[in-house]
Amino acid sequence: MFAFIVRRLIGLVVVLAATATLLFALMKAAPGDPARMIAGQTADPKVLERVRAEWHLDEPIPKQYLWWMGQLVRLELPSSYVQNRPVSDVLANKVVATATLAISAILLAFVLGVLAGVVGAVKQGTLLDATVLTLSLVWISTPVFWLGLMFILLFSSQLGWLPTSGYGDSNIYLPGLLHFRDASGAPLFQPLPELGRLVLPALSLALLSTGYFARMMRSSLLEVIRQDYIRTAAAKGLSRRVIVFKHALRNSMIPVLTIVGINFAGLLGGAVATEYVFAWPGLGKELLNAINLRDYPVVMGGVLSIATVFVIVNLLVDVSYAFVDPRIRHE
Amino acid sequence: MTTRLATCFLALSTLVLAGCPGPPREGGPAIARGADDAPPTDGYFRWRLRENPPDLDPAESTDTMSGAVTLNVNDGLVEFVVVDGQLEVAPAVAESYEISEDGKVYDFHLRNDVYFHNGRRATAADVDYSFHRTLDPELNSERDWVLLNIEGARAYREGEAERVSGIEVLSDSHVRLTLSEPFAPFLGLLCMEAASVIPKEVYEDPNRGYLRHPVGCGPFAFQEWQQSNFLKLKAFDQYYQGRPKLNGITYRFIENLVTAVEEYKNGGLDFVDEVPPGQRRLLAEQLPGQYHLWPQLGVYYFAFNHQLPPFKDNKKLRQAFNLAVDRQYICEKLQEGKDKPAYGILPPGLPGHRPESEKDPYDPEKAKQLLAEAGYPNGEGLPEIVFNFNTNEGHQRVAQQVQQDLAAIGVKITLRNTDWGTYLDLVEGTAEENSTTAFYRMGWIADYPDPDNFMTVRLSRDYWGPKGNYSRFFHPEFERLITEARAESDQAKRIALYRRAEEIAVDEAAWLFIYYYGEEALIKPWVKGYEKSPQGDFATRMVGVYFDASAPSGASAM
Repeated sequence: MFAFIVRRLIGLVVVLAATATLLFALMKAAPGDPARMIAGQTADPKVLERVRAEWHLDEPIPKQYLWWMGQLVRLELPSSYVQNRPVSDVLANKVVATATLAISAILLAFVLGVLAGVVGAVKQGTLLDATVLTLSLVWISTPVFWLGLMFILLFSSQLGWLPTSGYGDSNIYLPGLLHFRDASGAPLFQPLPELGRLVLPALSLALLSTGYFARMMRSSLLEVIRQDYIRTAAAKGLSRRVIVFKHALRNSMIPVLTIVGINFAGLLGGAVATEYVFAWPGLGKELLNAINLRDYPVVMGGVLSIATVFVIVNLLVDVSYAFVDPRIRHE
Repeated sequence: MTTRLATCFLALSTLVLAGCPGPPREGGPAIARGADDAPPTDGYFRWRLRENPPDLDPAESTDTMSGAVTLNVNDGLVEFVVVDGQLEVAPAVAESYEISEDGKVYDFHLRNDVYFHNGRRATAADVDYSFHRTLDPELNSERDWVLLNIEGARAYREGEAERVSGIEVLSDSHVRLTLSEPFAPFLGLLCMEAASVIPKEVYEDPNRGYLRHPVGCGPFAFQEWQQSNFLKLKAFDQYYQGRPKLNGITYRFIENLVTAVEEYKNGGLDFVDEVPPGQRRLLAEQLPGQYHLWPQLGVYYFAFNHQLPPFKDNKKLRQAFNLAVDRQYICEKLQEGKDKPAYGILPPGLPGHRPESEKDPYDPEKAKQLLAEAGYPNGEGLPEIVFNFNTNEGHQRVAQQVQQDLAAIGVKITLRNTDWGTYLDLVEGTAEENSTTAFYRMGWIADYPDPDNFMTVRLSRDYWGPKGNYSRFFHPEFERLITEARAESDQAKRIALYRRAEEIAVDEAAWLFIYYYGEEALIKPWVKGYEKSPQGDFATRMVGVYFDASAPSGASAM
């Protein structure tokens, strides 16, 4: 197992190097001059020259590439062109918001999806099953963007149950994070969101994945339920509940866990739209702004962070197989 | 599995709930919601901004979001106040000033009760420091031009001098500025953020915390900034013009306009700076007395590249375009009455504005005739023209309308949109080299209320390329008139010169003029004392704004 994890982590380095190279190529291929974006609608050519020199934008492309890679190896990205502070600061400042949103959404989707899938499988062929199938299809096909707005109109504007948008100011920090400060002495990481404000964004982000999980859970469970050992368990006189939850569920979990890993990436993508609709101060929105402003250090840092998270989450999923099914050993 | 899942869930919720409380803070609840549509309980004005201000350093602030914050934190020698809808220069840190007969020497006498937010008194030495800082080659400010008219400023900016020779500190409360040549709009420039007075000891702190936590001598002091979430300013008790009536300002960053308007309706905002296109009339109806509209000092136009075919040396073609477009329809139907038709450069409210430039010259028959005279009867022989704009729903609607209007006289236009970064690259060219883009959208809003800011920056020969005149317009008589106007100290004569220059530019059809901007906002009825600035809502002085809880919901706020 240990060797497996080490191998995968080495693979991570290769993935990151390839991602960085691809990103650099895209940055150079994309039209739009960062120096021009920094300087505003009117700019003195002399100012532009100075800005280009400051950010190594006037050097030949191979030299720029080597410079970027050197900075990455030393874990020293240049400062954000636009915000005038280290990229690590810029990104760290958005991590808590995106992490709480994405993790709440994936957990919510997992719980709702598994429950719906179990119900659908156990009550196969009934109206309830048809409802699960239809609803999951509806959730999968609904754009996050539209759903978010509908949630705001319904739960906030009409019913008045939940706040409309934003992150709030809970002033509650995860233990330890308050030690990190930026140059002005302000906390580097965000506090946790106000719970009430988390509900709508997390729900609207979760529903897409919920649909996938429910369908996968349902078909996987249906397959397992027809196995001989389940029939044996039933013949032993075990209750239906024990059969489903103790014997069948665990064995039908592997395909679901696999798509949890894959979905997590899609969820980070969907988070951009959710963050936009709910004014959520997360990484997705930051990255999108950085792309529009040609703030390449932030783009580089943000994309590499997401790539890292993606690889690590999928590694965790692989490792979790062993816990769900003890026969699997990563040798 | 179920038990394990439950444990896992419990663990997560503990994680979420059991964080540590952050540092204690002042100013009541953080983002106070008005209870059932009432003013916020903490007395903080809740202002929607699209996103984080890119730069809180007044010398680097070039956009409206940064301006909305920096203009409230900082003060300069003088400031703009709104009198009858017009901007006027009023004393600020300087209690009085004198200008010499030749218009070159400005003497400023400072108040002795101006304090920075860190408690130290501001003196003439701080003015000297702040102005040098804006011009410092190290800082490389994009707003250096605000002070470049001062004698010796250019040499200092280029690193050729130790000091700016035209800035003299004569006593603790007396600063003298000498210009290299008379420049009438200079006082207006001094009202801009880049001429703010800031404390050296805070700026030069080696941690460079200033950019995250700026300190100035304006009516509001910086309090807290949670990136992309909110930024708060609190009222400064020692403000020399008296403590602001509000307890503070909370800027909430909400990019999506639909969300912002819902947040406003649900009582989470006191002020929204724009409304979604297509919803203006609806909102004005739904929220009586809360939708406000006033003229802004800006112009929206489609630019011709004067050095590229087919517009080069073809005045009649450019004129035909101008006569073919139905601006009335664009303003009334597409813009829902927000903007006013423009057939000129200088917007209403700006000195030099000619009322006749608000008329729509729409005349498709005459346009056809001019097109024929230009050598393209019914558009025959005219190559297909690409119109470029930066991606935006509003621009697209106007572009499609113009496309239709031009098609009616036989001119075929293809629309092409790109994002802003690509767009600037596409249209501006360099000082020496032309771009390859012949026809594109542009807009300009006054930095200071003077025709010079439009005519010189957008149309003079010296500003070809990224400096502002992307359309590479050049006309010798126009050039002569604006050069003369820049140095003229008699205001009436100056304005007359600009009027003549504008007439030339309109006759030459320098641009395809579209409309003069209107500014809009949703403002809650309990907000009082809000002076609508012709520069736009970001420039409003918030010092006199207050809440009146007794104002009935739905009544006019002003």
